Amino acid sequence: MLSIGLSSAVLGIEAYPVEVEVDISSGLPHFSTVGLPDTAIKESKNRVLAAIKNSGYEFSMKRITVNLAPAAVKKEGAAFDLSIALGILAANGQLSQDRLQKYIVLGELSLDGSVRKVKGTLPIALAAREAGVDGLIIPEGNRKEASVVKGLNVFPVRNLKETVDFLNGRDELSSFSIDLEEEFEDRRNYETDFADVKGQEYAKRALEVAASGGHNILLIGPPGSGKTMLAKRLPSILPTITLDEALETTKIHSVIGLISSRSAIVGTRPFRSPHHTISDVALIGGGSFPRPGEVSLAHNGVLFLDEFPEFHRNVLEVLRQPIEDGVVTIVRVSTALTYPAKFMLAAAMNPCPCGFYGDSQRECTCTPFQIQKYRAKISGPLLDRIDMHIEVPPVKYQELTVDTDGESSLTIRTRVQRARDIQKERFKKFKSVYCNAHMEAKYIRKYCILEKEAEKLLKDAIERLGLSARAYDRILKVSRTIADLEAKEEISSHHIAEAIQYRSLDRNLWM
Amino acid sequence: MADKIEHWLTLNMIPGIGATRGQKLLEHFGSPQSILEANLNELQHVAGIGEYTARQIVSSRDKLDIEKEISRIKKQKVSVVTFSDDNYPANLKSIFDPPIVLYVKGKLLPEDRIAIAMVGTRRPTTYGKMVAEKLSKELAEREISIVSGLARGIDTSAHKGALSCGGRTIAVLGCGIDICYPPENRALFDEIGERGVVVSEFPMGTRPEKMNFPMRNRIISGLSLGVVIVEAGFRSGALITAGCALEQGREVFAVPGNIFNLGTKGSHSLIKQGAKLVEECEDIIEEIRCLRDVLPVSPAIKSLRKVKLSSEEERVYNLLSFEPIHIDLISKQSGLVINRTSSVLMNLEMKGKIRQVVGKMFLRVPEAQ
Repeated sequence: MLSIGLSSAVLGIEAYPVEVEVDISSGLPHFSTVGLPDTAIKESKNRVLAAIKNSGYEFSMKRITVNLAPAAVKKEGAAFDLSIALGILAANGQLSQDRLQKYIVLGELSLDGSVRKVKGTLPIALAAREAGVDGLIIPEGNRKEASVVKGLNVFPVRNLKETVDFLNGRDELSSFSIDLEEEFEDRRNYETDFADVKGQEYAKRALEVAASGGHNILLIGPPGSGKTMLAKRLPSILPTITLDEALETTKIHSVIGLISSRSAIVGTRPFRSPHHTISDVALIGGGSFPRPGEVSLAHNGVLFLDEFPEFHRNVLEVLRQPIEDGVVTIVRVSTALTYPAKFMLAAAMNPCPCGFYGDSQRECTCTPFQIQKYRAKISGPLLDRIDMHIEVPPVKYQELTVDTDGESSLTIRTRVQRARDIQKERFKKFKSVYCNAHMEAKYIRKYCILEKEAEKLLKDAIERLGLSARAYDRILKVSRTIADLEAKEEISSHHIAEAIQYRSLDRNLWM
Repeated sequence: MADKIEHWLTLNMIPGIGATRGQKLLEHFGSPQSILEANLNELQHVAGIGEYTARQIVSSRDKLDIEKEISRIKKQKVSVVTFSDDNYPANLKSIFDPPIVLYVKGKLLPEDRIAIAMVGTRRPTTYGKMVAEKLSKELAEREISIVSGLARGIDTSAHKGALSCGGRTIAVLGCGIDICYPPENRALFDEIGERGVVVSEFPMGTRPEKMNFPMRNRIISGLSLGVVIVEAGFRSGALITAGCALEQGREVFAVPGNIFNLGTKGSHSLIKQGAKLVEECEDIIEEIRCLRDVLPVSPAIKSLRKVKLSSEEERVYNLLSFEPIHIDLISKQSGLVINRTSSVLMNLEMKGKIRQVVGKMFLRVPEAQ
C-alpha cells in the first residue's frame, strides 16, 4: 500500500513543500529512506518504529520505502519523523489517507511517541498559508511561533496518538491562535538599561551618536572598563523595532531554532556576541546544509565582537561584504541563498595585547612593536567601515564621576528616534539608505554642508593632527548625525570638533 | 683612496679589535694598511696586543669578505668616515676610545660640534616624553644638534622634538646601519637619514646585541658637549651614557621627575651626585660656554604662539594641569555637557594649548619660552 503525506523543509530562510511517500510491500523486512536524507533522517526509522509500537498500534515489519520528494534536494533534521510515522500508519490502513493529505505535518518523535520541538516553524507556517492547506500540525512547543502567521489553522500536538486520532476524526483539536500585537507589545522591554551605567558620560554620548546615525563603532579600553556592558545596552537606545522588522528577525531565528516555546516573536532588537574563536562560516552563514550565521541573527540589531583583533583574520575579512550590502549571499552549485544581515557593528578591543596601555594604575608590558602588530590585525578596509572609535576609560575615572543617576534608555531613545526621523525624511528617495552611516560618497558632498568655520577647522585638523584621508568622509558623516541630533540643517564647527573626537585610532596617540 | 677605505673597514671588522686596540695599533704602525701587512712578530710586540690578538689579526684579516661589505655600503647609500678623515666629528676625536670607522647615513656637518645628547628610559611616562620633546625642540630651535640613540621612549621623543621644528638630530645605533632597531622607528630612521644623520661604528648586518649598546652610549656622549638624562630607572642604560660623559669630561644634566615613580630613581641619584638639575633649556645653555653665543629664538616666532581663547575654552583650559585628566571629569568640573566639552577640547587642541593622550585624557602643553 502507498500513502502520501505533506511536510515542509527550509532552504535559506524560505520553506518549500516536501511530500512524504511511504510504500509498504511484502518481502523481507527492510526499511529504506530515499530523497537525499542526512543521518538524522536515516536514523528516524528507529524512532518511528519504536514510537508506533509504544503508542499502541499494531505493526508487523515488512518492506518499507520512504521517499522525500523533491528527491534531488538534500534534506536534514528530525522534523519528518511524525510525517513518516503517519505515512506508515496510513499505508498500513490504520489512518485515513484523505485527511492526511490536507495538513502539513512537522515534528520529531521520541521513542514513547511524544512529539518534540523542531526548527524553522515560522517560514514553514508562512509557506503553509501560501499552499492553502487545511492546517499545520506542529509540536506543541512550536505553537506560538507558528501562530504568528494569520489566516492559518495551527494544530499543536503532544504525541503521535493524539495526531492519529485527530486525523482519523476520532478527536477534534482546537486550532491555536494568539493576539500578535499584544504578544509583540509584551516582549518589547529590554533587560538592560542605560540608567544602570554610572558615569561614562563620554562613552554614552558616543553610543548615542552612533545609534542615531547607525554608525558602526569600535570601543577601546582596558579589561574591565565596561566595554561589554555599554555595548549590551546599545540595542535599547536604537529606534524601537517595528513589527515588520521583528518578523524578519524572528524568521531567521526560527530557522536556527532559537525561538523559545514561550515566545512567539522577537520583540527587541537582537544583540549577538559570538566568541572570537568563531569560524567564518558560523559568522557569515553557510555550511553543507546552509544556515544563517551570526551576522544574520543580528539582523535589525547589534552584532558585538569582543576582543576584535583576536578574531581570525579571514573571519574579519568576510565581514566586509555584509557590512556594505546588508545581505549575505551564499552560492552553492545548485542554488544561491540570500540571508538578510542588516546590523550595526559594535566591536571592542584592548588598547594593547596586555590591556593596560595608557592605564595609570597598571603598567603595560607590551613593546610598541607588539602594539603595532596587535592593531594591524584589523585591516584598513575593515577599519574603513567603522565610523567611530572611542576610548573607554579604566574604572578609576568612572568612580570619580559617579554621583548622578544615568539617563534612562527611553530618554536617549527618544532623541535617537528624532534624529532618525530627520534622516528618514532626507533619504526617502533612496531604497537602501535609511541612515547617515549608509550615505555614499557623492551624497556626503550633497548633504553634509559645512559652515565656513567648520570647513576651516576640518582642514586644519587633518593637517595638524595627522588624520588620514579616509577619516575625512567618516568625520563628515558623524558630524551630520551630531547636527541631526540638534535638528540643525548646516554643520557647524562644534559638530565637526566633536566628530573628530570619535576618531581615536586615526590619531598618533598610540606610539 | 678607495683601497684605503677597504683597509679601514677590514681593521674595524677584525674580531677582537675594538676602538682601544685599534687606536694602539694605529699609533704604532701609522696606517691601517701597514697593520694589515705586518707579520705576527711585529704585531705581538705592540703594547696592549698579546699573542692571542695578534694571531687573530693574522688569521682573520684575509678571510673577511670586504667586497661584500663595500657593495652593501653602496647599496644602502651609506658613506664611511674614517678616523683620519677631516670630517670625522671633532668632539668624538677627543675621547679615549674613538671608533676607527663610522658608517654614516646623511651628512656630518661641522656645526654638529655644538650638540647635546638626550637619553632616558625606554618606558617613559607621558611627562617624560613631553619634557624630552620640549627640551629637544627648544635646543634645536637654537641650532643645537640633538644626539640620541633611536631607542624607544625618551630617545624617540628627543629625535622627534628636534625634527618637529626643522632642527638637526643625530641618531647613534647599536647595530649595523642597515638594520632599524626598534623596527617601529623605521619612519623616524628614514627621516633622520634625510634631515639629520644616522651613525654607527658597527659593520653592516651587525645584530642589535645587548653588548653593543654600552659601546654605542660612549659615542652618544662623545659626540656631544653635554648629556641630558630625562627619566632613568635605577639600572637604566642612560646612566651608562652619563658615566661615559663624566669620563669624557662632558657635562651631565638631569631632569627631575615624580619621586613616587621608580622610573626616575636613576636621574634623581645623578642630581644627588651633582648633575645639574634642568627645568628649562636655559639651564643647559648657561652651563656650556660655547652654547652661550647661540642665538635665542626670534621674538616673531614667540608672538605667533599667542592665541585667543573663547570664554568656554578659557574655563576648560584653567581646569587642566600637566597631569592628564579624563574627559568625563573635565565635563563634570566645568559644568559643560559632554558634547560641548568634547568640541571645546578639540578646539583647544587645535590651538596647540593642550594635548590628548591615550585613554581620552587631556593635559596642558607647557608654554614655550
